[in-house]
Amino acid sequence: MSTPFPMPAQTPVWHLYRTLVGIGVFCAVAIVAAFDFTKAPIQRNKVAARKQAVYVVLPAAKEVGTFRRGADGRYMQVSDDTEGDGLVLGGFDAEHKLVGLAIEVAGSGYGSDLRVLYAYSFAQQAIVGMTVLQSSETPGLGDAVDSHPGYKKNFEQLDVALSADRQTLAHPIEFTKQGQKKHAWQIDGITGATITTRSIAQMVAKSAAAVVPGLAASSADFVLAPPRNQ
Amino acid sequence: MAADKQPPSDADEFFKGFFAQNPVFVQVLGTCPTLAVTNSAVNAVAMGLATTFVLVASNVVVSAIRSFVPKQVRIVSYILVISTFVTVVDYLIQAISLDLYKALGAFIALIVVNCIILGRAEAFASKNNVKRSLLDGAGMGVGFTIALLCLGTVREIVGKGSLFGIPLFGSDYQGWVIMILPAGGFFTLAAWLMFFNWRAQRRARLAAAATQPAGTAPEVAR
Repeated sequence: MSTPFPMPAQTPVWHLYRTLVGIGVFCAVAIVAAFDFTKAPIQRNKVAARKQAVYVVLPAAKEVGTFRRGADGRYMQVSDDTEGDGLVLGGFDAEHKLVGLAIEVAGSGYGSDLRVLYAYSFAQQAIVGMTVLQSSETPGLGDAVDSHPGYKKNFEQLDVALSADRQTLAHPIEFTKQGQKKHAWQIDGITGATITTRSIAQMVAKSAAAVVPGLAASSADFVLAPPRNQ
Repeated sequence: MAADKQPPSDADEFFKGFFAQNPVFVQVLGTCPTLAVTNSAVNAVAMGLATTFVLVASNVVVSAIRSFVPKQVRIVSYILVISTFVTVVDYLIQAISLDLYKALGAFIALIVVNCIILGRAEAFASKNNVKRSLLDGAGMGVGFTIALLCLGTVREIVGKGSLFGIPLFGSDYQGWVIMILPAGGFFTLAAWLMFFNWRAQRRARLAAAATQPAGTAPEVAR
């Protein structure tokens, strides 16, 4: 028995596989090619932005040097375009006297990767500044971390003094909800951006606990080398 | 008669997106980035150009592959193509300026879900040849950029007293901060939509008056 209207021909399943795999391969090639083409200029821009950020968190700095801890445990100056973990940026005044150190930390926020630079002052034994290097958090909510004056004020005099044995922080940095801060080692969050502000607080707390005792013992290592002859 | 109906010329295909079918002011699409990134003219131009690139590239590719993409997987195929070009734009903007990348924030990635792009892929590029799809994408992209620029210039001039970062009124000017906040985006978009609707009604009224027989009073829309 025949039907009055013929059924449309079914698309074979392997046609669907073929189409999606083909488009997937095209997309993969295009993305990797774009990544490779833009890798060098993006890296140059990131190094320049990192250097500019040091002047933001250490306003008294006139020169910047990049340092990394060597196998012997001492910090040594390295090229400004050095990548990787464990870099410390030194801010120096016009007489090449150390103003403070800037440390980059990375982690995950509410919906994006975060990269933050904070400044440590030997003289004040405190974190004295913070700026966000990278964030794609929710516009109007999470992205307020880089513009909210109250949140940034947390990092203007954040206590990271060392304990008596100078191996740990006397008071680990803590995160509190907005308006509940009572001590100089606490960071007040922002209502509406709780997860992002807590993420940054935890990133800075973890980094400071691990790095500051070592930095305090190595203050003599941070000497700006004279420029090399071309 | 149907036989007399000519397809639009290449020029019409390109220019229709500027004003007659402007994606923001006529079709009211893509309002999320329109409201969000237009607090300065530079951001508006950057977002407009990035979206234009994605529109043109995705329209061309979707048109080129339209004959062998089965309809069951067409939407996922278009989204794959669009998201690829958005990723490429993301890398390019980072390579050009990290400050600009930071200013546009999450809205670069959100170009993927800009309904103008998927709309043109589905409604136009999947039914037309590569040349016409390219012209359509470019025209819609320019129209989108014009719309963003309309909002960006007004908001920056009134909100900050500058245009493209150049101060216009001297240091004594106190900007209307609300214009660079989200509420200012709504106010400015509403004002532009009023203008475009008034313009469309006026043209329709004039066209109706021109077709009225001599001696009869034209019906005036108010």
